[in-house]
Amino acid sequence: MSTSAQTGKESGAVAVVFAELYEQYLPKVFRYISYRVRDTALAEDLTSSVFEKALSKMSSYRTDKASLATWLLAIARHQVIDHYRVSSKRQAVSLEEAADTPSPRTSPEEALIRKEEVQRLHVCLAELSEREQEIISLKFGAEMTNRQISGVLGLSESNVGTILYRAVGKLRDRFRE
Amino acid sequence: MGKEEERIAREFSENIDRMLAGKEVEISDAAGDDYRTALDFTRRLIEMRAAPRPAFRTQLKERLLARVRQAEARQGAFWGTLHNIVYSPVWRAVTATVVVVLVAVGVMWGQGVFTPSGDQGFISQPSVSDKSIATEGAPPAPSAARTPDMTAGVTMAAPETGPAMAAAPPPVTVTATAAPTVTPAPLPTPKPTPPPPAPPVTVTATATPTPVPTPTPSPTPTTPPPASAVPPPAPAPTPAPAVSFPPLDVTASTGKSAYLSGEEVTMEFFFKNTSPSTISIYPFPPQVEIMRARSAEIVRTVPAGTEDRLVSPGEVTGYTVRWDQRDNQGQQVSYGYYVIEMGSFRAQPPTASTDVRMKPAFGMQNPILILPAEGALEKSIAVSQAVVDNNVTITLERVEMSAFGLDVYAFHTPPGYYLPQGPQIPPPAMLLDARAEYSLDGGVAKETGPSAVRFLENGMQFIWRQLDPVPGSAREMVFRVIRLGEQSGVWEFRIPLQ
Repeated sequence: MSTSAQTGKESGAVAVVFAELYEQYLPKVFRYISYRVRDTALAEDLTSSVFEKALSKMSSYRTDKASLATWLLAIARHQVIDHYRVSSKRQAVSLEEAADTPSPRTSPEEALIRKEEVQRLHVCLAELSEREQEIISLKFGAEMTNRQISGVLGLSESNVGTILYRAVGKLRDRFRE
Repeated sequence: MGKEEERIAREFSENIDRMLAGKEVEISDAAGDDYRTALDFTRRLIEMRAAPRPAFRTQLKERLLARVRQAEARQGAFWGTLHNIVYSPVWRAVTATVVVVLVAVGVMWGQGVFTPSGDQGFISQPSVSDKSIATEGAPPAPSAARTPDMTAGVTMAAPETGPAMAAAPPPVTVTATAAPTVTPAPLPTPKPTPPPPAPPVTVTATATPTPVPTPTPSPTPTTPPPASAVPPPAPAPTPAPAVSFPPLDVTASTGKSAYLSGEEVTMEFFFKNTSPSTISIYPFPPQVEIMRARSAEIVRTVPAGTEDRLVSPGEVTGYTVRWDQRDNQGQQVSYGYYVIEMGSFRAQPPTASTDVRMKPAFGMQNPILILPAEGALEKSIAVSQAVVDNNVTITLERVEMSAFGLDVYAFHTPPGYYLPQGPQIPPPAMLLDARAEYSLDGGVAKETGPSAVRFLENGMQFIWRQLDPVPGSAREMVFRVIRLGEQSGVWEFRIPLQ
């Protein structure tokens, strides 16, 4: 029951809570960023920055203002925006994806087809408007509900739904071409 | 039309949410082809999503947790010091004295002890009694009665009482001095405790109308028990259970990421029923195949069992496979990366008429690495060799070798190449990848599988990552690029390793 014992216990508890949050949100944040930057290495860098920022700003997070998912994704959005703001200085853009970790169940031919499909999808995505891309990324990457997306983008919930429906339709049509 | 589109869009979004949650979609009969094909396409979009690499996931987590612990250790030291100060006997004595004095002052203040007319002092009560007095038709209370409640000590409503304000300062000092540690707690506490013994009757009477609703949280929990006497709490008939897809979460764990040659490999498989109904898994355990990571060549097959295993909703079942690293012919397999794939099995409610089958593969996210018996080379070699074939130049930049595998970097500048800007994606003509094979000391050639591609300012970099580790005794590697996009050829590089 010494002070140090107490401190140790508390510190462990916070780490456990943080670890749980990390496990829950890392895939969403990473996928969202992957949609936006289409480069695995860069997506990893930006995802790291998001969590580091979140960690340092944790004390300013207010549960009454936004859900944790919304808050984290807002940080992720700004991180991506900041990245593109300085993108003129960028040295490299890469298109690493599925081929990086080929699934063994797929034959090399299948892996290649899949890789090409992913690349084609990115090409088609890039043809959508910025807002449509953002909504697709938040929906499929961050797995947000329309209500959460509306909170992040400042649009009405029904507006988000309509844009999403049209965007998926456009993407499908372009992907088929 | 607008309303109709909005409705369809809403239903569409809800279905996407269901798919993302692994649930079944609900398509109304009115849904047209456009809607259905959009949903089908959504499935593909979900399948094509990227996932964070396990190594990245783990490393970042460790880094962040280290920061959390560091920060907490610092904070812990601060709170520890504070804790020691606050709980020291001297501090306790001082604090207790201050609290007693403050409470006494507050009570006296509330009772009007500091007001000029002593006989009216007891009329001044907590706000509740204030109202009760009014409802009883009592004459408008004198000004002292308007010193409302225990918060008067803080709100400073008292000044209206006039001259006797020599007594006013205490409350001010109360808030100020008390602020840091002790007072915040004591100040609110007096509020619920109706101070003077005099007005109990009025309090009960007046308590009901207004302030009591706040404390109701405690009464509420008491309401459910009587409910036992109340008729039926709606038995909630369970709807016909839908099978979510996939109905099972299947996971594999190999415990270790690398094994010595000949060491037994333990693989554990878990099946969690994520569906609302009981699921039958047949055959159980399903067949397990161990295959080479790059070539997908099956080296060992563990046959399926014959059991029909029933798994209740939420239940987890599993089994363990121990592999002695021998292939189907009883020979020790060679070093390198192996992956696990399960044979197809049925996973559905026992009475279901549909045929839901699963065939999980665990891929490079959960590979088994068998290390070379003599250890692996661990070095990086700058190669910088350029080879031209069919007028196409490929430069092998470097090879990086470690116990966890071989990474090879090559470079090529396609005609008309430019670095895509911003979120722009390069044209399909530049969406190339490269295939290669390699051999060590004239041995059997191994396939690399497709490369990853990185766009640089002056050209494209092709990277083959996590190929099998190179044994420590290897002297020369021959690395051949055999295809670049649609272009075949042989770009061969000889790399001395020692």
